Amino acid sequence: MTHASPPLSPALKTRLLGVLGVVLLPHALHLAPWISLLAALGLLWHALHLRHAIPLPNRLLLAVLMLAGTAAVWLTHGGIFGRDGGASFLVLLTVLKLLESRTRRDGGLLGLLGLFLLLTLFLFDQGPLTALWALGAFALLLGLLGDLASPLEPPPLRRRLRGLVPTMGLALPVALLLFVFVPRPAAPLFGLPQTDRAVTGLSDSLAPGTITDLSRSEAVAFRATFAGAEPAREQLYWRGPVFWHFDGRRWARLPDLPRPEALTMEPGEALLEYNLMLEPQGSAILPALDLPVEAPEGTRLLLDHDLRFNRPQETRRLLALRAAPHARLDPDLPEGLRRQALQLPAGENPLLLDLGASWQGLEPRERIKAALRLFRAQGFRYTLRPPALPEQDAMDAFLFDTRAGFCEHYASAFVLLMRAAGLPARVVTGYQGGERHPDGYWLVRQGDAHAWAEVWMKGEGWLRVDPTEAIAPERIESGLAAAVPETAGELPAALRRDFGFLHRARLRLDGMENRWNRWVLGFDRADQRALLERLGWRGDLRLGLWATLGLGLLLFAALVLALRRWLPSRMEPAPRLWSAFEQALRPAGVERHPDEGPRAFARRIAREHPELAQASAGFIEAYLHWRHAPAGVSQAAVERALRSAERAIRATARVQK
Amino acid sequence: MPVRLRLEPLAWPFLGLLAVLVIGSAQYASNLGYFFTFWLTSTAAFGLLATRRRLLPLEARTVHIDSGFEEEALRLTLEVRGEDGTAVEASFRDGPGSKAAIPTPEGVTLVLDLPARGRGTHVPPPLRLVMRDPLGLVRLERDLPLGRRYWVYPRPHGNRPLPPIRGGSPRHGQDDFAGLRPYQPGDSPARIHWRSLARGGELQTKQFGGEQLPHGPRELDEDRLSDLPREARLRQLSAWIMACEAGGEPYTLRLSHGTSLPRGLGSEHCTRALRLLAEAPPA
Repeated sequence: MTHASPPLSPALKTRLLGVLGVVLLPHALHLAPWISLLAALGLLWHALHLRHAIPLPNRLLLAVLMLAGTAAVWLTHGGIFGRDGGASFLVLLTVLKLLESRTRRDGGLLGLLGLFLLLTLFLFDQGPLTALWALGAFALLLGLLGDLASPLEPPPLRRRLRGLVPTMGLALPVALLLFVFVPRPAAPLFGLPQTDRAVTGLSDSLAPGTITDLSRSEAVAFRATFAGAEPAREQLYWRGPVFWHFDGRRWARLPDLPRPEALTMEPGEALLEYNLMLEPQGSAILPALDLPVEAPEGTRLLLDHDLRFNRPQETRRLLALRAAPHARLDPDLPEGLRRQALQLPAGENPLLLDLGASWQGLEPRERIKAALRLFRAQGFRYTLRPPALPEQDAMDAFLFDTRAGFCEHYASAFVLLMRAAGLPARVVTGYQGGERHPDGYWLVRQGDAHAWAEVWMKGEGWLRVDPTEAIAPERIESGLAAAVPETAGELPAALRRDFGFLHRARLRLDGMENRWNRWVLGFDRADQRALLERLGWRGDLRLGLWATLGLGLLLFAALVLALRRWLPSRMEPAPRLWSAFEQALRPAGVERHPDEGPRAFARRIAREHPELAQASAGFIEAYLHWRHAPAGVSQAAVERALRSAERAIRATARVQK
Repeated sequence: MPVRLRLEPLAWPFLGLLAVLVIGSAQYASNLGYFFTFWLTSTAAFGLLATRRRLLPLEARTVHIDSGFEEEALRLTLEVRGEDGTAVEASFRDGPGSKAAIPTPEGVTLVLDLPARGRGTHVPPPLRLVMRDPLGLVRLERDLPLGRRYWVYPRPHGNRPLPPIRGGSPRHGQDDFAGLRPYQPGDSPARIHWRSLARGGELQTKQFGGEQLPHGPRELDEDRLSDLPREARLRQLSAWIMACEAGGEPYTLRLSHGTSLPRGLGSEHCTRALRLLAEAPPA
């Protein structure tokens, strides 16, 4: 049996428009401007239709708009299934559907589209403000669905929302249980999530200027919280991509190969444990504290002990990591790698090569010292604005002419000098330092990006050498702003740290964001596992989660049932007491006829079920007295009569069994 | 009384949406996505339970039920009580419905059209109370039997003249007072002996001219119509009853299967007579 769906009344259409407006608004922050404009025009058209009876577009026009819009989304985002294309397409669909909605059923579909659209918002931003907005829009959407489901005209918005409170309130603990215990997949379900966002961050190639550009960004790269001992600021080298091959202009990495057996790492004493909350960065780069001990799930250690994700990361990730600050890395280096670590671009930088070669007779440590002495003594400057270098013999120009550069210049020149002096060396990029937050974590921004060197010595393995420390020790001890005082004005406020009050306020905000990221957005499989282990379960994660979830839901159901008996019902006491009485009789097969009054019911029970007569009559008498002469009998007395009737009826049922 | 659950058309797209949201949240590892998806799911479930809990204690009481002639529109007046603010639709099973929001403690009064029925005595079809869950995904239906009966009388129809008043024309003038007898319904107020009432006695009617019944009843006897089929006879009797009532003339009723009604007049008598016609077995 199908009924034609009733038409949308003007009041419902107005509410539909308002609620969808609230849902669509935050999308304007992320979507292409033309999509936002189109959506705004659609909503405006609908509003004019409601206020001034302007006709809505006909189906043909809507179909044309849909086709054209889809094509435009496709052209802008290369499809309608990725994050941006999908969200744009949904916005388009929702607005056009609004313009052709006539019946309540259309309205219901729009409500569902609105819910879909609301949750796509989280693919762009999951900050606390977005969550708050989404909470409001969520309640409005549920209220809208309620308006559409009710056969009546919509009640005032406030009453509709108040009516939702008990249901949503009861549902909240269940939602939390599901959130905590439903097993999460370890990896995206299908391929890579597509986002077309341009993210600032470390990259997999290095040229003069790469890190300098980053240094102007105050975007958060990651936050790290140490579990126990915390290293000093100057020890905080967060190790990222490692570069081996120099072509005269750019440094390149080795292919992503796993570490062979021949390479060893002895972690040594005093391991550091910490949590890393990494912001989405669109690449597989994972800056881990020098040196990472092992690779957690979803990551791996490469040949050069570079810890990387298996896939590019489009989402914020939380990792539990360990670092070995005094590790011995690769005390034996296979010949192939040793040669790679001595590679020099042919025919370039002859002055540099001569200088390096002149140190070959020195002890390895002395060669390092010679290079650092050079930087310290020969008037080198550490600057955010290095002079441009020529295409040819760039490092010669830097060492012997401009003598001004940023960390990547010094690291490159140093590695090349070491190689020329016969010491295997490589460039390492990552972050150095960070800001210690009053809440106890390290806040590391893109502006803390850094480049340094590693030199290999037989029997000792790779040693970290930071030439920047020789030129600008302030950079390592207290950050970039202290190291480049003359150009610090170019740095964003968060990196300058000079406005005391403003900076403290920013830090407080970041503290809130950090907690939100950690406990709301960062909650993941590892937390689930940890939680189960605290509950004493060490077996299969999935099984444990499902079992705990089932148990939790059962407990909650029992709690609700128990509370329902004790919490006052919202029903009037008289119908409540009476229906409880009828409820008690039902299992005994006694049902009141709809038109039967209490007395007639009592007489019939006496006639048809004499065994229940006494129990029923006791309650019915008390009930009637109370109803007709409330002064004589208290409600409590009726409640007591009800309970004794219930007991007696149950006892009778047991006897009969 | 069981509650039936039917899916509304919106239920399928809703389930599809939940699936898409779970997959999307997993694909993008979006914790807020997970959380709101779970909240949406559990809200839908609790909305369903809450609706059931509101539907179960709903009570419907028949305030008034029309009886009337065939082909007349008859109506049932109900009072429905339940929890405050419950939006409920009431209808007869498959019949046209009526919508109401229920305020407590008064309840709400609903008027429903009874389905058209033939002559006879009928019980209204069960009342169907329908509520939707707060998201409009399912409808919950509960049928309540309604206890009170109603009668559909034969439609007054026929052109036979009224039977003559028994005893023909009075032998004596109406002015000859003959005595008092106890009042019977239908007696003309002009003949009521008001003085005996004023003296505190019972209501009495004056009799005139030695006549036992001065205004002799019309004997509405089915046997007078034996040339007509049964239903036509009942309709003619129905027409006669209405004519007598309109003219203020007392009447008796006798049906050929033996049921009869003594002399009388007035709405109660009329109702009894019409009910007899309604209940008369078919030929």
